[in-house]
Amino acid sequence: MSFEKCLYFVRQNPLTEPSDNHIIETQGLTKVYNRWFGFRMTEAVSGLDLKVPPDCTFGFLGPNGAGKTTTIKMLLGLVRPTRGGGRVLDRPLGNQEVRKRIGFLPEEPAFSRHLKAREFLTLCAKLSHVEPDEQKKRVGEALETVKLSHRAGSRLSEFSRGMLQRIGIAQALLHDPTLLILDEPMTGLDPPGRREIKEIMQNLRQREKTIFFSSHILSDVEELCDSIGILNQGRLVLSGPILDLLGTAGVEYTVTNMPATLLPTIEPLVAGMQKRNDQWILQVAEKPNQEKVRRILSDGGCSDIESHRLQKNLDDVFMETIEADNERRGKETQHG
Amino acid sequence: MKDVIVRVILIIVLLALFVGINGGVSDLLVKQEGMDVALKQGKSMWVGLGRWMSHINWMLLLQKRASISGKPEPAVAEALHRRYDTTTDQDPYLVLAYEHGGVELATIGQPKLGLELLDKGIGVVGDTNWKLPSYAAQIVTQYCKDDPNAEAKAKQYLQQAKQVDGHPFYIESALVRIQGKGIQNDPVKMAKLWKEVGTRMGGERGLDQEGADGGPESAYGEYGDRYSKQACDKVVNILRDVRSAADKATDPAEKKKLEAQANQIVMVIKDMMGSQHACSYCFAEYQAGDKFCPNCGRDVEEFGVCTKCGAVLGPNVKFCPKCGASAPKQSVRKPAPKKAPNAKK
Amino acid sequence: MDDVMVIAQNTASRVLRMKALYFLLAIVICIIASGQLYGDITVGREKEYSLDLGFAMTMIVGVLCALVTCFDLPRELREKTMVAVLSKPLGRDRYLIGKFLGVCEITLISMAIVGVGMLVLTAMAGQFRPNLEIIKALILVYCAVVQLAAVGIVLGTFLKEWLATLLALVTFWGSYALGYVAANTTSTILQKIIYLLPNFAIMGSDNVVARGGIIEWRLVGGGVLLTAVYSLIMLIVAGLIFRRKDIA
Repeated sequence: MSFEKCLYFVRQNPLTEPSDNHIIETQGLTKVYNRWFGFRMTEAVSGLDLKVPPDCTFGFLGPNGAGKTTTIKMLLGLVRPTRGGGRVLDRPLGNQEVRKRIGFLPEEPAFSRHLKAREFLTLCAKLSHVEPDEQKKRVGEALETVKLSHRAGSRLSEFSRGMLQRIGIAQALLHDPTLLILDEPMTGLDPPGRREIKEIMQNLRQREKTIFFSSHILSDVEELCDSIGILNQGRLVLSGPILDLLGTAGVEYTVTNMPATLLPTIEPLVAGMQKRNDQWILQVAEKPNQEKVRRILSDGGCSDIESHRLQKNLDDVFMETIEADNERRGKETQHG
Repeated sequence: MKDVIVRVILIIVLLALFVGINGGVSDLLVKQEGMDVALKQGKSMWVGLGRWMSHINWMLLLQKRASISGKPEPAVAEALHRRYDTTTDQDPYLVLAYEHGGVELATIGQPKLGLELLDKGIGVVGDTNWKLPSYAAQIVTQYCKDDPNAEAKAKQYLQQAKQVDGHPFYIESALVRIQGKGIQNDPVKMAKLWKEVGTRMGGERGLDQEGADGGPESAYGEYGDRYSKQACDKVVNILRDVRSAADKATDPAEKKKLEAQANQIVMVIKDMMGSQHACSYCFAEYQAGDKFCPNCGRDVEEFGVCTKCGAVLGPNVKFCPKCGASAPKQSVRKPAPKKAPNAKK
Repeated sequence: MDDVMVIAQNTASRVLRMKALYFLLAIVICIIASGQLYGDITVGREKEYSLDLGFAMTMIVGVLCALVTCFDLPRELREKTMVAVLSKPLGRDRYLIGKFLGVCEITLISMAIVGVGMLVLTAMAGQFRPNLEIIKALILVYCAVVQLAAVGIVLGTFLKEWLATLLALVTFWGSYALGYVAANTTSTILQKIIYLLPNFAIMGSDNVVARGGIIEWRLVGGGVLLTAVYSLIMLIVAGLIFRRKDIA
């Protein structure tokens, strides 16, 4: 048996059986930070089971300090998991070779500031094992993609936060990775910058790359993502395709010339009602109530009823989930 | 996990290798000539900057010395000594500091501190430097007169100085001066003392080097390999004094006694000189080829000089004992005599 | 190997961009040049003084450059530049080797500048001609400095900048002073323990040159071999520590 093979078997972890279905898959991923020689322990991530299907854009959400960055660093092998494991692109966490197929944008784009943009990207290309004769071309392309070709000769120390962010994206794209991991790509950018980065990400999506990005700017996530996962205080509280999660928030009926006699019967059933000129706008959340309201209205002789489904907002989903989770935790600690 | 074990094993193997190499290199370092002595003594804390710092300290010392006049307070002298001490700790080969420091401390009233410093220097460079022990001997005899062991100490220092190649003759005379106390009136004992003290390098080395080239000519002249010329001259002078005393003596018993003494001294001189171009009566030097002694006019034994190496040849030799060349039939004069024959003085 | 050289080059170029380095080099050259002026106050020891001053300055510059290893890793960790580099397909071991080689490079460059400056200045003043012994002594000083850099890289993997620097200097000082204790002690155990420490005493060989002695080639070879083996050990140790490190 060759040495390489030996190592392969040694590294094999029962938790990390190969799977064909997911680009990223973790089981019980846990990180505990020990401070003061273990007297103060902080659980940054606990028992994370994450599954990211291929060719999707995955939004990784969570309030500040939820453990998003720690999770990302564990996926990249920068931080060692305390327990649990996982596979990225069918390799165990921390595998060196697999990083050739991953592009990573760190949370704070801190790079060697003394280098010029082109120098820095060439350095990254060399580190990413891009073929020497392709390096120049790839660097040019990456600069083009992030629209920084005109500043290729400037030092990174002269760059603004947004430009650094773009350079960060450029260095993540250099080696044409299959998986892109972006940690807070939108923070610190002005609206045009954000739009540009969104455009870049949408382009990448069309090129069938898997993008895994963390953010707390929910509107962007809603716009870009196929799937999301919400992390709160180190635990994954919600995850799945975004359309399933958003679901419906109910139905909105617009009724013209509604008889005033119906109002008392309808009022307890609706979540909100509003009068606009001669129209009543009724919002009804629960399904049984929708049926009842509809019957009452048709029975009452209102003929002109318009109805349309209300889409849930990601904002609401996020807040609801986080609040519910916090409440649950509060109870747990009370009982415990 | 496995590669961690492999690495740990690798580290252990490499460390074992390193300990071996480090030991070898350290041995080489200790044996390396001219290496930092303080390091060898394991008391260096100057991490390679010792010599440079010693220079700085030396310059500060020179300034400090300029400000001292007369006999300063003991505390000042002690501070000065401390600085000399540090300077020589930093660069133990700074002979200048031992010399200056020893003498200076003695002259400003701290002979003990001066000796301490000189002792330190002797410990480092004592086997190549005769100045430090001779200075120490001078300090002991001049400034430590109340010390009952002063004489013994001075003798020890002088003998130490005498071991060093290239030492001047006054070391030997100083030794005779100390050792000859009480026997000055006995010319035979004095002659024997000179024979004992005048031995270059202490007898053994002289014997070891028999037949080898002599040391620096200035110190030893051409008088053989074991004795310095000056030492021989001293004994010759004693002989002359005894003879002239014998000539003047009127009492026959006294005269006989003096002549017996002269004969004994002659034996000593002959021992010391070996084969030399010297008159067998008055031991004045003559040139090869001379028929008469330039001093007393007596006939002399004719010795030749080897034409090849210039060594003095004994009477009736066929080959040069030094280089093995055949001796010339006629005695040959040495090409350029180094010194005029030592006239009566 | 390409990526190791990239890291080395980047480390070196970052240091080379520091103005403090040039300032230091300029000051050191000025100090060596001013050595000529001190001839009078050293009472006839100006030749020795110039040589020793040159060696001392070369050593100081070398040590300061070698201590960059103590600074560099904690600084990169703190400034988070390490995150971007280590997320590339580059092993942490290779990263450490690159850092180490970069510091060795920068140390070599700055020591060469000061060394050549010293040789030129003293030759111009007619004090002594450049000779092989000086080169040998400089090689040994460089070897000692590289060992210090290797110690620094281990300390830098788990300590803060100032603590790593302090500990590296303490190791430097202690090992230097203990180097000869080992050679003179009768206790073999103590000797072996001391021989586990790096050998900084080899840089004392400038004493030999200043006294006009000849350094044995065996010593130079031994010094180079010793340094190579020690650096290797330290890099493996640093790798073992660093692989467990969380790049937070």
